[in-house]
Amino acid sequence: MKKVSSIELPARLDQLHPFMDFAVLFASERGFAGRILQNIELCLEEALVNIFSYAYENTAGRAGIECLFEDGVLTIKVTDSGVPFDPLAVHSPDVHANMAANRIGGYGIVLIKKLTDDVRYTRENDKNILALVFVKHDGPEKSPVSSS
Amino acid sequence: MEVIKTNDTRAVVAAVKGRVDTVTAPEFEKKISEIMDGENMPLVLDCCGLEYISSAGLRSILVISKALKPKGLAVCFFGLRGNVKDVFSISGFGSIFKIFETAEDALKSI
Repeated sequence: MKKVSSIELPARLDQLHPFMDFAVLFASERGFAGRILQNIELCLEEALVNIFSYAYENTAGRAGIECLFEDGVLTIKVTDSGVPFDPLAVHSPDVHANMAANRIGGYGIVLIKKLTDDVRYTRENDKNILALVFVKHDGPEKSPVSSS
Repeated sequence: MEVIKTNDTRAVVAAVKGRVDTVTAPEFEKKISEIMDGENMPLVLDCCGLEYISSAGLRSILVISKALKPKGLAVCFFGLRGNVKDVFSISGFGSIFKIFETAEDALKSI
């Protein structure tokens, strides 16, 4: 089984499901399932939609994902050639603030930070690269957040 | 994604099924706003069949909630599970909105 697999498609919302299907297949073939697989999907969606919405302003562009699985660690690199942008540097909304005072939006990056085991941003060769890292845990599934 | 309305004397109960992601969120918002058009009872969202929600779905919920507010109507939820439960918890929606375990608990609160 290949350790690395990648795909590049137009950076448009109608490509979201093809991108996600690709990553879900890669992750599920390597034993990711249930809640963690859903969390992988969620983080990928948030990262891609951010690119579709902001990376190319009003021009067409492409986005890519590269999936790597090694030593029980899945890394999904999400790339674009748009304007330099580090989503991790954006101020997170105060998620516990009153709704009326909270602007709509900004939840995506909060979800990524919370649901990945690690997340890193780099700018290389005029590309934005956001690496989403998930560790495959053995044993019973645990919720990444305490139940409320 | 599907939204199915069921009748109750205390609230409008809408069951959301499937996935509410960036692609399906606009349709979810539209269906709920159609269901709530002309209603004067609060909205109870049945999430037992909701398999996945992303931040786009959260934004839709905020839009729905803001549209109901001038009419004095609230929205509450029951049946959250898996990814949906995590997303509600992380985003703080669990403290913004009333979340119940069962339909009966939700309806009793009204």
